[in-house]
Amino acid sequence: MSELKAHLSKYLRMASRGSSILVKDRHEPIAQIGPPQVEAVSWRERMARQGRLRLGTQKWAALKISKLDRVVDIQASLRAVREDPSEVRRR
Amino acid sequence: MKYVDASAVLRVLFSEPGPSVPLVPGGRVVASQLVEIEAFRAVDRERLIGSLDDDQTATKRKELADLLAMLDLMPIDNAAIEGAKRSFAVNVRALDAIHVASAEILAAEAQGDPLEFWTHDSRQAIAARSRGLTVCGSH
Repeated sequence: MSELKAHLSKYLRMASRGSSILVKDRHEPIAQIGPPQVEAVSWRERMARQGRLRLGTQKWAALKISKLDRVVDIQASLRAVREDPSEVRRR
Repeated sequence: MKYVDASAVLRVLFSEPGPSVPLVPGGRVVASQLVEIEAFRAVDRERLIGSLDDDQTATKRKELADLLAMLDLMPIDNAAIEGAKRSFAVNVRALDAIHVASAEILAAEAQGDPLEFWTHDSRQAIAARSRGLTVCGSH
Protein backbone atom coordinates (compact mmCIF):
# COMPACT_ATOMS: atom_id res chain seq x y z
CA MET A 1 0.00 0.00 0.00
CA SER A 2 2.65 2.49 1.00
CA GLU A 3 4.68 1.63 -2.10
CA LEU A 4 1.58 2.22 -4.24
CA LYS A 5 0.86 5.57 -2.59
CA ALA A 6 4.42 6.70 -3.11
CA HIS A 7 4.57 5.72 -6.78
CA LEU A 8 0.95 5.74 -7.88
CA SER A 9 1.54 7.44 -11.22
CA LYS A 10 4.26 4.88 -12.11
CA TYR A 11 1.95 1.95 -11.38
CA LEU A 12 -0.94 3.53 -13.26
CA ARG A 13 1.36 3.99 -16.24
CA MET A 14 2.36 0.32 -16.05
CA ALA A 15 -1.29 -0.72 -15.84
CA SER A 16 -2.19 1.39 -18.85
CA ARG A 17 0.49 -0.51 -20.81
CA GLY A 18 -1.04 -3.85 -19.96
CA SER A 19 0.53 -4.81 -16.62
CA SER A 20 -1.61 -6.11 -13.81
CA ILE A 21 -0.63 -4.90 -10.34
CA LEU A 22 -1.81 -6.72 -7.25
CA VAL A 23 -2.22 -4.37 -4.26
CA LYS A 24 -1.59 -5.91 -0.84
CA ASP A 25 -2.20 -4.61 2.69
CA ARG A 26 -0.01 -6.41 5.22
CA HIS A 27 0.61 -9.21 2.72
CA GLU A 28 -3.12 -9.63 2.06
CA PRO A 29 -4.30 -8.98 -1.52
CA ILE A 30 -6.97 -6.25 -1.42
CA ALA A 31 -7.15 -4.90 -4.96
CA GLN A 32 -5.86 -5.25 -8.48
CA ILE A 33 -4.98 -2.54 -10.96
CA GLY A 34 -4.88 -3.34 -14.63
CA PRO A 35 -5.74 -2.06 -18.10
CA PRO A 36 -9.44 -1.47 -18.82
CA GLN A 37 -11.15 -4.63 -19.96
CA VAL A 38 -12.04 -4.63 -23.62
CA GLU A 39 -15.73 -5.40 -23.80
CA ALA A 40 -16.47 -8.16 -26.24
CA VAL A 41 -19.30 -6.96 -28.44
CA SER A 42 -20.87 -8.69 -31.38
CA TRP A 43 -20.82 -7.14 -34.83
CA ARG A 44 -24.54 -6.40 -34.43
CA GLU A 45 -24.05 -4.55 -31.17
CA ARG A 46 -21.10 -2.66 -32.62
CA MET A 47 -23.14 -1.54 -35.64
CA ALA A 48 -26.07 -0.63 -33.41
CA ARG A 49 -23.85 1.53 -31.19
CA GLN A 50 -22.56 3.27 -34.31
CA GLY A 51 -26.13 3.98 -35.42
CA ARG A 52 -25.70 1.68 -38.42
CA LEU A 53 -28.21 -0.99 -37.42
CA ARG A 54 -31.59 -0.89 -35.65
CA LEU A 55 -31.80 -4.09 -33.66
CA GLY A 56 -35.06 -6.00 -33.83
CA THR A 57 -36.50 -8.31 -31.22
CA GLN A 58 -35.96 -11.42 -33.41
CA LYS A 59 -38.73 -13.09 -31.36
CA TRP A 60 -40.24 -15.10 -34.16
CA ALA A 61 -42.44 -17.19 -31.88
CA ALA A 62 -44.44 -14.04 -31.10
CA LEU A 63 -45.26 -13.42 -34.76
CA LYS A 64 -48.97 -13.78 -35.55
CA ILE A 65 -50.04 -13.78 -39.20
CA SER A 66 -53.74 -13.89 -40.12
CA LYS A 67 -55.10 -15.89 -43.03
CA LEU A 68 -56.99 -14.07 -45.77
CA ASP A 69 -60.17 -15.43 -47.31
CA ARG A 70 -58.87 -14.69 -50.80
CA VAL A 71 -55.67 -14.98 -52.80
CA VAL A 72 -53.70 -11.74 -53.00
CA ASP A 73 -50.87 -11.42 -55.51
CA ILE A 74 -48.72 -9.31 -53.25
CA GLN A 75 -45.59 -10.02 -55.29
CA ALA A 76 -47.25 -8.39 -58.31
CA SER A 77 -47.96 -5.35 -56.18
CA LEU A 78 -44.37 -5.24 -55.02
CA ARG A 79 -43.16 -5.41 -58.61
CA ALA A 80 -45.55 -2.58 -59.46
CA VAL A 81 -44.38 -0.29 -56.67
CA ARG A 82 -40.77 -1.08 -57.55
CA GLU A 83 -41.17 -0.50 -61.24
CA ASP A 84 -44.32 1.40 -62.20
CA PRO A 85 -46.64 2.60 -59.45
CA SER A 86 -48.55 4.71 -61.98
CA GLU A 87 -50.25 1.60 -63.32
CA VAL A 88 -52.50 1.48 -60.22
CA ARG A 89 -56.02 2.48 -61.25
CA ARG A 90 -58.33 3.70 -58.50
CA ARG A 91 -61.77 2.13 -58.36
CA MET B 1 -27.70 -14.75 -41.01
CA LYS B 2 -30.57 -14.22 -43.43
CA TYR B 3 -30.95 -10.99 -45.40
CA VAL B 4 -34.49 -10.43 -46.64
CA ASP B 5 -35.80 -8.09 -49.29
CA ALA B 6 -39.43 -6.95 -49.39
CA SER B 7 -40.57 -9.94 -51.45
CA ALA B 8 -39.36 -12.30 -48.71
CA VAL B 9 -41.09 -10.23 -46.01
CA LEU B 10 -44.33 -10.11 -47.97
CA ARG B 11 -44.28 -13.86 -48.62
CA VAL B 12 -44.32 -14.40 -44.85
CA LEU B 13 -46.93 -11.68 -44.27
CA PHE B 14 -49.33 -13.15 -46.82
CA SER B 15 -48.51 -16.80 -46.09
CA GLU B 16 -47.67 -17.40 -49.72
CA PRO B 17 -46.83 -20.92 -50.84
CA GLY B 18 -43.29 -21.83 -51.76
CA PRO B 19 -39.98 -21.54 -49.97
CA SER B 20 -39.78 -18.75 -47.44
CA VAL B 21 -37.13 -17.47 -45.09
CA PRO B 22 -36.94 -19.71 -42.00
CA LEU B 23 -37.92 -17.75 -38.91
CA VAL B 24 -36.50 -19.93 -36.17
CA PRO B 25 -35.24 -19.20 -32.65
CA GLY B 26 -31.66 -18.04 -32.77
CA GLY B 27 -31.85 -17.27 -36.47
CA ARG B 28 -30.89 -13.70 -37.22
CA VAL B 29 -32.82 -11.90 -39.95
CA VAL B 30 -31.60 -8.57 -41.27
CA ALA B 31 -32.80 -6.14 -43.93
CA SER B 32 -32.40 -2.66 -45.29
CA GLN B 33 -34.88 -0.09 -44.01
CA LEU B 34 -35.90 0.13 -47.65
CA VAL B 35 -38.02 -2.95 -46.90
CA GLU B 36 -40.27 -0.85 -44.69
CA ILE B 37 -41.16 1.47 -47.55
CA GLU B 38 -41.53 -1.22 -50.20
CA ALA B 39 -43.66 -3.53 -48.08
CA PHE B 40 -46.06 -0.84 -46.87
CA ARG B 41 -46.42 0.53 -50.41
CA ALA B 42 -47.26 -2.95 -51.73
CA VAL B 43 -49.92 -3.48 -49.03
CA ASP B 44 -51.39 -0.06 -49.82
CA ARG B 45 -51.52 -0.96 -53.49
CA GLU B 46 -53.57 -4.05 -52.70
CA ARG B 47 -56.08 -1.79 -50.95
CA LEU B 48 -56.11 0.65 -53.87
CA ILE B 49 -56.87 -2.08 -56.42
CA GLY B 50 -59.55 -3.53 -54.16
CA SER B 51 -57.85 -6.78 -53.17
CA LEU B 52 -57.91 -5.85 -49.48
CA ASP B 53 -60.77 -4.19 -47.62
CA ASP B 54 -60.20 -1.67 -44.83
CA ASP B 55 -60.26 -4.30 -42.09
CA GLN B 56 -57.79 -6.57 -43.88
CA THR B 57 -55.55 -3.63 -44.72
CA ALA B 58 -55.46 -2.49 -41.10
CA THR B 59 -54.70 -6.03 -39.95
CA LYS B 60 -51.95 -6.56 -42.51
CA ARG B 61 -50.38 -3.16 -41.73
CA LYS B 62 -50.30 -4.06 -38.03
CA GLU B 63 -48.82 -7.49 -38.72
CA LEU B 64 -46.25 -5.92 -41.05
CA ALA B 65 -45.22 -3.43 -38.37
CA ASP B 66 -44.87 -6.29 -35.87
CA LEU B 67 -42.77 -8.30 -38.31
CA LEU B 68 -40.52 -5.34 -39.15
CA ALA B 69 -39.95 -4.70 -35.43
CA MET B 70 -38.43 -8.18 -35.22
CA LEU B 71 -35.89 -7.59 -37.99
CA ASP B 72 -32.52 -5.94 -37.61
CA LEU B 73 -32.82 -3.01 -39.98
CA MET B 74 -29.94 -1.19 -41.61
CA PRO B 75 -30.48 2.46 -42.59
CA ILE B 76 -29.72 3.58 -46.12
CA ASP B 77 -26.53 5.35 -45.10
CA ASN B 78 -23.63 6.73 -47.13
CA ALA B 79 -21.93 3.34 -47.27
CA ALA B 80 -25.03 1.71 -48.72
CA ILE B 81 -25.43 4.49 -51.27
CA GLU B 82 -21.77 4.25 -52.30
CA GLY B 83 -22.12 0.48 -52.70
CA ALA B 84 -25.29 0.85 -54.75
CA LYS B 85 -23.55 3.35 -57.05
CA ARG B 86 -20.83 0.87 -58.01
CA SER B 87 -21.06 -0.88 -61.37
CA PHE B 88 -22.87 -4.19 -61.63
CA ALA B 89 -22.20 -6.89 -64.21
CA VAL B 90 -25.92 -6.90 -65.05
CA ASN B 91 -28.67 -4.32 -65.46
CA VAL B 92 -29.92 -3.51 -61.96
CA ARG B 93 -32.84 -1.44 -60.68
CA ALA B 94 -31.89 1.28 -58.21
CA LEU B 95 -33.79 -0.26 -55.29
CA ASP B 96 -32.28 -3.69 -55.99
CA ALA B 97 -28.83 -2.10 -55.91
CA ILE B 98 -29.54 -0.68 -52.44
CA HIS B 99 -30.54 -4.13 -51.16
CA VAL B 100 -27.42 -5.74 -52.62
CA ALA B 101 -25.13 -3.03 -51.26
CA SER B 102 -26.73 -3.30 -47.81
CA ALA B 103 -26.30 -7.08 -47.80
CA GLU B 104 -22.67 -6.74 -48.86
CA ILE B 105 -21.97 -4.38 -45.95
CA LEU B 106 -23.65 -6.70 -43.46
CA ALA B 107 -21.79 -9.71 -44.84
CA ALA B 108 -18.49 -7.87 -44.44
CA GLU B 109 -19.33 -6.85 -40.86
CA ALA B 110 -20.47 -10.35 -39.88
CA GLN B 111 -17.26 -12.21 -40.66
CA GLY B 112 -17.78 -15.89 -39.91
CA ASP B 113 -21.56 -15.65 -40.10
CA PRO B 114 -22.42 -16.48 -43.73
CA LEU B 115 -25.16 -14.38 -45.26
CA GLU B 116 -28.07 -15.82 -47.24
CA PHE B 117 -29.90 -13.32 -49.44
CA TRP B 118 -33.62 -14.22 -49.46
CA THR B 119 -35.71 -12.90 -52.31
CA HIS B 120 -38.56 -14.15 -54.51
CA ASP B 121 -37.95 -11.50 -57.16
CA SER B 122 -35.96 -12.85 -60.12
CA ARG B 123 -34.42 -9.50 -61.04
CA GLN B 124 -33.37 -8.89 -57.46
CA ALA B 125 -31.93 -12.39 -57.32
CA ILE B 126 -29.84 -11.82 -60.44
CA ALA B 127 -28.51 -8.55 -59.05
CA ALA B 128 -27.49 -10.21 -55.79
CA ARG B 129 -25.99 -13.24 -57.51
CA SER B 130 -24.00 -11.00 -59.84
CA ARG B 131 -22.15 -9.67 -56.81
CA GLY B 132 -21.40 -13.15 -55.48
CA LEU B 133 -24.08 -13.30 -52.77
CA THR B 134 -25.72 -16.62 -51.89
CA VAL B 135 -29.33 -16.26 -53.02
CA CYS B 136 -32.22 -18.30 -51.60
CA GLY B 137 -35.92 -18.44 -52.44
CA SER B 138 -35.56 -17.81 -56.15
CA HIS B 139 -34.90 -19.94 -59.21
